[in-house]
This record gives sequence, C-alpha cells and structure tokens, in this order.
Amino acid sequence: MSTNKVQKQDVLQAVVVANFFHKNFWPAADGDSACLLPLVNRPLLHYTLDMLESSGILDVIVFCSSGSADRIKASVQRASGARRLNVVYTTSDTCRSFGDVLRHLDACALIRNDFVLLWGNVVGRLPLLPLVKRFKTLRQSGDKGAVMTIVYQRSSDPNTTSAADQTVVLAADTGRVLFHNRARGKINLPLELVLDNRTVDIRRDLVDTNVVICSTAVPPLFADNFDFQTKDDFVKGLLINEEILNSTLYAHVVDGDGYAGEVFDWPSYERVTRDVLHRWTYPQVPEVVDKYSLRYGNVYFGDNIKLALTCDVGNDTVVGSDSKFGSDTRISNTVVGKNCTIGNNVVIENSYLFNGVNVKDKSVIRFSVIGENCTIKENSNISDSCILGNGVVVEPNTELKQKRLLSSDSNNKSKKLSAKAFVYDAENNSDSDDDEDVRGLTFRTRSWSINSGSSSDNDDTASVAASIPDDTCMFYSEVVDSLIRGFEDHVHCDNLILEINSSRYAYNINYREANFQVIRAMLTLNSKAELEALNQVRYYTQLQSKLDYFMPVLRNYIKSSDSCEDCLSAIEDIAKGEELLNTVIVKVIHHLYNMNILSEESILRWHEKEEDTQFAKNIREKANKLIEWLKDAEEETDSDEDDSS
Amino acid sequence: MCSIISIYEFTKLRVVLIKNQLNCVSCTPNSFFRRAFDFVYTPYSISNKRHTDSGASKPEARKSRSLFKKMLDIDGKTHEMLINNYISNLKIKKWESNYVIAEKTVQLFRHFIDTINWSTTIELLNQLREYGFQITSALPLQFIVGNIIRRILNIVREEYTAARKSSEEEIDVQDSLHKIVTSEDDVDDYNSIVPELKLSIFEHLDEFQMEIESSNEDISKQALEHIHSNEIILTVGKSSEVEMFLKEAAKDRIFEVFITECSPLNHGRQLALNLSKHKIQSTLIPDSTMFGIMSRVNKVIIGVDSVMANGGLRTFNGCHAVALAAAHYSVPVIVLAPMYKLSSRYLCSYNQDAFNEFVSPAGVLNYSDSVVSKVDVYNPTYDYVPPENVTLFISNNGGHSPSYVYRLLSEIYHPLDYDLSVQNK
Repeated sequence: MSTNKVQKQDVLQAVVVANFFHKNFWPAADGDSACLLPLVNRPLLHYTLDMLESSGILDVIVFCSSGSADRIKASVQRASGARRLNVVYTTSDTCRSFGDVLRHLDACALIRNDFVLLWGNVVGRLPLLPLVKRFKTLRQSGDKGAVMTIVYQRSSDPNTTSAADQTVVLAADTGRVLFHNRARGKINLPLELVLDNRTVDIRRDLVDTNVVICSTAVPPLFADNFDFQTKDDFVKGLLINEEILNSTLYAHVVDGDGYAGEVFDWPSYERVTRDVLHRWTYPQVPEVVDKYSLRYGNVYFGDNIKLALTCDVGNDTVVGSDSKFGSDTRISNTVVGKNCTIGNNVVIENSYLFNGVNVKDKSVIRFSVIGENCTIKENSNISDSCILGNGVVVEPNTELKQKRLLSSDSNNKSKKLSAKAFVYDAENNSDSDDDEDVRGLTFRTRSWSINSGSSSDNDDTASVAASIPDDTCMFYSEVVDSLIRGFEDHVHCDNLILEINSSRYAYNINYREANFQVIRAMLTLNSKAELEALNQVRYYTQLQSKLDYFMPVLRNYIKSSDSCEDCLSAIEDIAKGEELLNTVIVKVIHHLYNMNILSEESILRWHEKEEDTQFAKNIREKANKLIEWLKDAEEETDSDEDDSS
Repeated sequence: MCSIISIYEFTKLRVVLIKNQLNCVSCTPNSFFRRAFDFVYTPYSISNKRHTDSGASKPEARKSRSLFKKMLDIDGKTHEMLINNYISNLKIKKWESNYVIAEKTVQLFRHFIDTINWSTTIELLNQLREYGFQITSALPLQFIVGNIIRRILNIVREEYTAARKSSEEEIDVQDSLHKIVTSEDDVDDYNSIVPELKLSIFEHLDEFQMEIESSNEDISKQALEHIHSNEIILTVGKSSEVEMFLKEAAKDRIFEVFITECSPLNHGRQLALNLSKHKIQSTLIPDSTMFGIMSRVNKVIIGVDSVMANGGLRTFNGCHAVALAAAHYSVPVIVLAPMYKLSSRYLCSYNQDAFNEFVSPAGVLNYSDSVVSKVDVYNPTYDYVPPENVTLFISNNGGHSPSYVYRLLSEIYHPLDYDLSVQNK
C-alpha cells in the first residue's frame, strides 16, 4: 500500500497544447489542427508525443479545440509512440489564447503535480526527467517560489533565426531569469540586475523551445492574472511583480545534451525539417520512426517507391512510400509525401509535397508547399513561396509566384483561377515582409497572424509604428481624450488635473515625461479636418482660447525650470509635425511667456541650445525677434534694478 | 476434417486444464505459473472455451473452429502488443547492451511458444517465423534479434527431430558437415504430433539462456591462453566481454592495456576507469595516436557488435583503422564474440541499407555552432572490418578463425530460417 502511494505521488504529467492560436500555416493547415501538419511525412504532434514517451513521461493531457478533437484523437491513435502513453483529452471552445488554456486547466483541476507544459509543435529529443528532478530539488531545497523552468535552445545561426530576437538575463550561478525582453535593437537593463547578483549572463543567442516545466502554482497564477495571454505575458508579469506574486523563474539552456526545435511558421518549418533530415533529432529520424532507408547525402527512400532510371535525386530529400517518379525528373532538398506521382521532366527544389500529390510532366516547383491531394498539370511553374491548400488543381501552363491557393472559395473573397484553385488575397499582404531566409524560402507568415495572441507580432508592429514605449503612447492618448472631453463639456480644470494624474500613475509615467505629453496633447487637440478648414489667423485664435481654457492645467504642470524645458521641447516636437503650428510657434511661446508660464531664462536657454537639425535651427531663427525683445526687457529690468539699488 | 477434430480436442484439453488448474500435478511450479499467466492474458478465450465446453458435441465442431479462430485473433492481439512494446523499447534504446537484448528476445519468444495455440510443429514454426519477420523487418539494424530468433527456431526444429527419432540415434549438437549433408534425405514436414515437445523445447531454451548468461564467463576463461606476462594489449572503446577478459587475465598475469577513447561516444574512458579500479595498468589514448602506439602493441583485443557471415565484423566506429594499423605491424587482432553474435548476414556494399546506424551529429559538432546549416555531419555508429584483418575469434565454444564462421553458422542456424520472409510448407 505504501509503495502504491509513493507511485501515485511520482506521476509526472505533461500538458500538450495542440491548438496554436495562429494561422501561420494556413492554408496548408488551419489553426485548429496545425499540429497535424506533416513534417517529413509525419504529423508534428507525433514528434511531440514520441519525445515525451522516450523521456519517460507516460501521462499526457492534450488540449485541443473541440472542432479538431476527433481528428487529433484519430491521429494520435495511429502514432506508434503514443501507444504506451496514457493520453487524456481536454477540449474547450472558449479558449482564445495560451493563457485561456491554462485557466481552463486550472478550472478542470487536471494538474496534480509538477508538470511539463509544451506545445504540439516541439520536435526533438530532450532528457526531460532530469530537468524535472532538478526543478523539484530546487523547489524543495533552494527556492520555494520557483514556479517555472523555461527551456531554451542555443540557436544554430543567430543571423537567420527570426525567433532569436529576445534578450534574456540569467543569474550565472542559479540560472534564474532576471530579465526578459523581446525588443529589437537597444535595450535598457535596470542597474539592480548587476547590483543584486554577483554575475549575470546577458544572452541574445537563445531560441524558445516552447517546453516549460511548471509547478502546480502556474495555472492558478494565470487564473488570478486574467490579463496574461501568452507565456511572454506571464514571464513579464512575474518579473515585474516578483515580490508580490512571490514566484521566480528559472531557465535551462539546451546545448549539446539534446535538441528541441519549435515549428511555428514556414521558416522554422524549413529549419526543423532540415535538422530532422540531418539527424539532430535522432532517434526521431525517418528510418527509425517509419519504414525508410537512408542513403548517402541524407536521402531517405520509403517502401515500394518507383524511380525512373534517369531520375536525379539530390541531397536532403525524402521520398514517401508508394511514390512514383518519371524519367529525367530532378528533385533536391525536398520532402515528397506518400503516394505521390511525379511525371517526366519535372523539377522540384526546396519544396514540401504532402501526401497524394500529382505533378504532371514538365512542371517546375521551387520553394513551395503543396497540400494534400493537389494536382499540378503540365508545364506549370510554381515558385517563390506559394502555399497550396489541400486538393487544389492547377491547370496546365500556369505560372504562380507568392500565392496562396485554396481548393474552394468559402467566403467569396478569393479570386478564381480555375475550377479548383482560388487565390487568397489578404488586404495587408504587401506590408511587413520581414522574414527573409538566406536560401530564398521567404514564406510570408507574419502578416497572416490575425490573432493578436502571439505577442512577438505585437511587439514588432509597436516598434515599427513608434519609437516610444507602449505605456507612454497609451498615456498620451488618454490625456488627449480627457482634454477633448474637458474642453467640449467644460469640465473644471481641477478635475482634469486629477484625471491626468490618475492616468499618469496607471501607466507609470514619470513627472517630466508627463509634462511633455500633456503639452503635446494640448497642442494637437484639433483634428485633421478642422485644421484644414482653418487659416492661420483663426487657427491661432482658437489655439489661444484653448490654451487659456487649460491655463490652470498648464500652471499645475509647468512650475519648475525643468518643466519649462519639457514644455518648449514639446512645442518644438509638435511644430515639427504640423505646418500650421509651425507658423505660429513664436506667438505661442510669447503668449505662454505673457501668462507667466514660461520663464525668461528657460526660453533663452532653449534658444541657445545647439541643435544639429535644420528644422531646429529654423525655429530658433524665427524666435530671434522674440529673444531680442526678451533680452531688451531683461536689460531694462536689470538697469532698473541697478538704479534702485 | 481430421485436423478440425484435433484442434477441437485440443481446446477441450485446455478447458480441462483450466478447470483443474489447482490439481494440475504434472506441472512444475514454474510452468504452472506460466500457465496461470497465460490465462490472465487471454480472458476472452477462457470464456469462449467454457462456452464450447458446455455445448460440446461433434456437429458443433465447425462452430468451435470459428471460435478457435477468434481466439487466435485475440491471442494475436496481445502478442502484437508485446511485439510492439518490444520493438519500441529497442528503438528508443531502453536496452543498450546486446546481452540484455538477447535475454529479452529469448524471454519474449519463450512466452510466444508457450501461448501460441499449436498442435503441430509446423504451425508453431510458421507462427514464430511470422513474428520473427515482423520484428526483424522493423529493426533491420539489430542483428542480434535475428540471430536469437533463428537460434530459437533451430532449437524447435532440433527438438522435433530428436523426439521423432525418439532416442534411436544420438543427436550430437556439433554435427559434422558430413552428417548434415547426408542427413538431408529424411526431410520432415514437421507435421506429426509429438507429445511433450513443449517441455523439451523449454528445457533446451533454458540451456540456451544459460549459454547466453555464461558466455562472457566462458570467453574470459580462455584469457590465460591469449594474454601473457608483460604484454601490451590495445583495445577500442568499451565492451563488456573485453573488460571481463582482461580482468580474468589480470588475476594471474601482469600486463599493460592501452585503450582508445573511441570518440565521439568516448566509451573508452569508462573502461579505463573500470580497469584501473581493478589494478590493471591502463592508459587512455586519443583515437588519433593509435597508429603511433601500434608498433609496441603485442595484441589487439576488441569486442564486436556482430560477426557477419563471412567472418567480417560490424563493430564500433574506429575499429577498422585499428585493424588496418595492426595489419601494418602484423599485430594479431583477437575478437571476442559470443555465439549469439554470429549473424547470417553479409555486407554487400558500403551504401547498403541497414548496415550502419547514423546517430545524431551532436557528439561531432555542437548544434549552436553556426555552420550547422551549411554542412552535412555524419556520425556513424559502426565500422565494418573485413575478415582478412581478423586473426581469431574467441567464442564461448573456443577459438575459431574467420574462415570457419560459415561452418558455425550452419550448426547453430537451420538453413531454412535464413530468410524469415518465406513461409515453409
């Protein structure tokens, strides 16, 4: 009985999230069942389950959306490695993000112990049990607040991996995660990082593996913090509120003792496929998990294939079982599925053909993905990252470049190419083509992520849209909102100050930044349409009336000489963007001086400041008159003072 | 019709056994346990059998036959599960050493012989061959599995012929070539029913298991004949046979051992550590310095993964270079190979499927090295050493020259079993 108890305690669970919440692989696979996308003729999920099985984990909980649950179940039953796994399925329709999945797990109370959490797109071999053991001893002996060990992989080629744009700071001795940021370019590290720890590793060569080891505290943390949507949110939230949540994060870097690759878009699909063919994932290689035979040059031949004598098969190629190749056909760097028929004189390079594809004579396929049971008729040319959904029929003599093709037109948005080929046009297809691969496989993927759940996309767009941090942006828009409302509804200025102050605290904006943003907001209250209707004179009178109205607000914020400086730089900043304000800038400054908001010294100091840009010089030239007048006035007062003394 | 009745009677016999399983006097405790185990495995068949027993009469023979077929199916399923389990265990390398693989294979087939419903030997043989074919085709790289299966098939055949001849003439385990050639005349179809065959097969299997267990010991007993005082021995990597052999020799003789690291797995380090604990003077050297040392070496003693039918070796990566260096300096190469490592396969070409195993290149190159995407890295596990570079095999039965291997093969395996895919009549 006692031994029985011990065994029960030691049950190690793994949670596999089989729903990706993105449509990166569409139309070759839809979002719900993208984990069944074949990688080297085997569903992605099988690799993940095999990895769990070979590392000794037997209890697996698979999360999937209810729409795809049946397909996933059927597929798992066919998996050889999953036979010995005890797989439990849990489904939900309300989950829209990774965070929702964990909240769902918390609600279902499926987790009994420390568990391994991973996505259904992890390919590789990792000794997970030692990692879990280390995590447990860490929790028992060292840090009781440890909630998660994140497994990272050292990237093979920092130049090409798009996921490597993250900075992780680790405590060198314990491996504790101290800082995590996904921003590109320059980052600011808080000084405490170095002060509190003897040595820290600042690493930019790490790639996510999407494998984490969690304690039972993780799902409740997600439930408590309903704004955690992704793992990154979780990491960020935990690092900011470390003391409040009393939980810490650790990292493990895989280097040499295993391999784990994550397939989240086409470039990573290509990378992991290459790694599988180059046997980094051993024993998860084609001829061990399936019936293939390995030839020199990483060529894998399935059972019962027919190759014409003059057929040329290049390196890094997989040919699935029962496939046929015609004469003078050349293939290289390509994965061909099962039951494919390839005609004569066909060229296929760097492409992925799924099961049952039929390619007729003299066609050319380069850098493309061809979905299941497609037919490509004679003399077609498909190149430059075309992605064909299942069952597409391409008519003879067609030329396709960078297209996504569907076999049926579901929402009438697509352009008809032929009876069974529809081109999908995305509105935002042209912009943000940011995934460049060295070998030319530029599948456009980022622009397809409709779901806002994946945070890397958000960060990207934010960093492109404006160079200022997110919170400041939010604060600014909030200030603008309150000012507009205040002006229209004649709200008392004291209340406005209160409002602005509260949003200042909400977004954690420091005092000077707030001054700057308030002035900016005040000067940009007019909408574009209004501006066009106004001429210079009327614009100024309107602006002046607004400034007068908000005078108490200004007085509240612009007090010290520092704040005057902020105010002037804000005016300059806005003038740079708006032609109308630019013409009246001197008047505005003068007016503010008259109202005793800007001090003489600060204006003079601003004017004397050396600026490089042409625009700044122009403004200062314009202000020359005002300055002269100011100087005169100063001398007068000086002389007056001299006289009086 | 005759066969139907015999099957039917057979099922009836089993039913009696179930009913009286507690007073089943003739069973040894071991076999009794095995029977009980069998019943646990096939709960459906028990109920079926009971059913046929209650309505037992000759007109229902056909019905009982179909039930019997069904029964076989269910049995087959549990066997299928066992086979799949076995295959996946081997695939994920749960059992690393060849010795463990051999033991597990014998255990598995022992269970099959026990649980397959067979009345004539040919049925048993065909069923075993089918399972054997399934396993060997799923594991083309594990030669040892095929060796054990062929050996077991041969044991069944031997026991059958021995029982048939019913001790009229002595069956010598080591038949001479002449005898084998001449005894071909009485070709048996393995169709007659032999009583007590199962028991004698199990006895023979026990012997075989003992042979596997004691093979390392038997090899190491010959150590003193080959290792002499003050000799310098060179070995490659880690092999349990070599380790035991050297330790045995060290009891009486003082000698020195050089061990190559055997990169990238570096098993040699472990052997060096083990030997030095055993007070044997040992030196660990990098693979590359092996040639420089060779002129001082008196003997090269290596282990092997499996011995090919022509006397060539499939052995750890790096052995070929050692064997060539040894040939250059005319140093004898002694290979320690227990009988169960003798395989009936040949190497036809270096591009042959399923000869070598390519593992992850992680040991050769780090994944994080940025060249990974631009180079192909191969990390083969095995080397092929041609028979002319081998001086002597030492098996548990004594020393043999490479040219004698074919003869050993014909003794331990039946020629009909070389190809498992072809069904015997």
